[in-house]
Amino acid sequence: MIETLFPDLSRADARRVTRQMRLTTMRNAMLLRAMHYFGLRSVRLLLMPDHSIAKVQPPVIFGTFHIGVPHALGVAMERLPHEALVLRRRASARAQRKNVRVVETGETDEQRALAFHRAASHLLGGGVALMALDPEHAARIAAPFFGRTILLARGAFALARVARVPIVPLVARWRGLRLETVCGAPIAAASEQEMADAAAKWLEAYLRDQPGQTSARVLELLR
Amino acid sequence: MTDVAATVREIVAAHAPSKAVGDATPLGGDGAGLDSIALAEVLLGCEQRFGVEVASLLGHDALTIERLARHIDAQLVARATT
Repeated sequence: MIETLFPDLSRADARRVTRQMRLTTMRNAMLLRAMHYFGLRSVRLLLMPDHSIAKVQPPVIFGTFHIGVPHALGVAMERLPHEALVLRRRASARAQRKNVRVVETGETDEQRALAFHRAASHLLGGGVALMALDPEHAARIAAPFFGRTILLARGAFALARVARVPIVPLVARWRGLRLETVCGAPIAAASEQEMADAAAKWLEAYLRDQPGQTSARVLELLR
Repeated sequence: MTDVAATVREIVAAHAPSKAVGDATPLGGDGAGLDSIALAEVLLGCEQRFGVEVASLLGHDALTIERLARHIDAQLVARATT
């Protein structure tokens, strides 16, 4: 419920924000359907160019959240001048394509260790990776968020620490009937806690500016 | 192999500081209890320290200090003889 994050919203505003969240959910479901039939062409046609992402210098981790339109980000990675490694729990064979290599993090500790190792090697070699900062199954790290706490996943922050690379927050959202990406300022490699705090701070500022982008996942991770 | 095993023990100990890890103890899960991040850091530490590949050991039998040391030693010997 949106009042959990924004207790001071008027009833009218809370209804408006809830409608925006539902609209995003519906549009995402339609986009997934289109992707099922037409593949990534559906996303490629809708995603507006974003030159700010291409200007981000590797090595870097693009850290995203399950808000907005996360499945647009693979296409955003295709448009980079460097090959991007995308970490996901599960991936279909057709997820592999030019300029994007998808690595499954899998279900077991050993599978996740192998994925982490691959990502670290890729980043240490000067590469680019994309991963979620809030996946479902993960070792958690708590960070201040809206006067409470959000449980983010340790993985990306540990990877950034090990490879000594920055994390750049990156999300996608609907803009009318098109898609756009929003890229934050780099979070410099530091301790895992410092980076997690900075990522949560970015997400909080983003959602305060765009409360309609709040998702069920964010509310689930709130403590 | 003794020196290799000693170095591997040090690298493992840096990521499992609360437990003394036996050479035959599985590093993950119910053994030494290293999580996926710690396991990956052990592999990276070994690769950076010895300059050989070790990630291929994952996914087969349980990863132990013994297996790591034996694998690294074999690769060092192979490299020295080519």
